[in-house]
Amino acid sequence: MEPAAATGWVTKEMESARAAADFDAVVREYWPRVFRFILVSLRDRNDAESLTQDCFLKAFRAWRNFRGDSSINTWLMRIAVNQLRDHSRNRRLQFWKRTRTAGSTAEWPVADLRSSPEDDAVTKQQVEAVWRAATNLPQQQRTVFLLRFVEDMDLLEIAAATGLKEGTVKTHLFRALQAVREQTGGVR
Amino acid sequence: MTRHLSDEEISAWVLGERTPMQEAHLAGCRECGIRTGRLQAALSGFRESAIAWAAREQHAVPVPTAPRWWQPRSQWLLAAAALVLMTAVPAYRSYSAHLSAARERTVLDAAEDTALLNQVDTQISRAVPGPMEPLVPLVAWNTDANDTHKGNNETNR
Ligand SMILES: [Zn+2]
Repeated sequence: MEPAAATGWVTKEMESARAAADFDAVVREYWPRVFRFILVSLRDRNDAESLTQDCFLKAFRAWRNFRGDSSINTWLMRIAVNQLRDHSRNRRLQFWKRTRTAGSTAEWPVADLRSSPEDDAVTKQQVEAVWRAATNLPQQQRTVFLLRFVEDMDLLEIAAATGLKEGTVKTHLFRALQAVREQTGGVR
Repeated sequence: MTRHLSDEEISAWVLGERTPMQEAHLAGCRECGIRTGRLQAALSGFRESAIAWAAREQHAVPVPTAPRWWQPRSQWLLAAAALVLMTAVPAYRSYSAHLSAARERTVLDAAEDTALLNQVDTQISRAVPGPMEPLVPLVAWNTDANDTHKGNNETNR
């Protein structure tokens, strides 16, 4: 083997190793967030698991070309949003549709709320109302709503993650909130 | 601004679109405070429940660690195997040469020790020294064993 070729090979391997090590840290830090966003979007743990894996596999393949134009979080969320879009396009029997037809029989994950005992019932009812409202939102509105109110992302980040214009994101959020307010407004 | 906030204004408020007039009204209006507070509480409760639920589900499926499934495995295996070969073969050769030299040294040392002890035994086991026998040194260095040893060493060098 030529010395120059050997050096090139070693450098390439070292770069791969460094990229893998960096990506290792990315996985550790962002896996829970991506998993959460997908889980809350789909409300199906198995699907959320495999979609999160797919998402990070895609991310790893693109990792060397990631230039840091957006934050890692936004970049990963964009991949997740695309994965979700493909997933719901491919799968007609998804939870949200089932829930929509099942009506009020769905169970909402509100058991972990740390409310004070006196306002416990009211708060849980209101939180359930938000879950119900989110269930009935059109997919794009729900994605925007979850990125804002679960993932705590701002307008610009959501626009970057969804590929929507900032004004469109704002409109989606406003409509989603109106729907939520209508659902929660009944509880006084 | 004396009128109460409309539903749309409350949604916009929660989204962070606030005018100074609305802020002034909200500071003094209990009813509008309750309405915005209720929506905000419901949203933060929703967030809290989503985070807790995901954490619980996540707990059952921990973040994947080594072996790293996202790494191109074949490339890594090749690299690792090459690295092992590159470092291990010369290291093993040098180690085994070192090992056989050491083993030979140990065998020779043992032979030397045995010869010495035999010599000592012979000297002290002689029951009584003969009269006027000159005191012999217990150990004579120029022995056959030593000669053999040297010879062995030379052949081994
Ligand atoms: Zn008011």
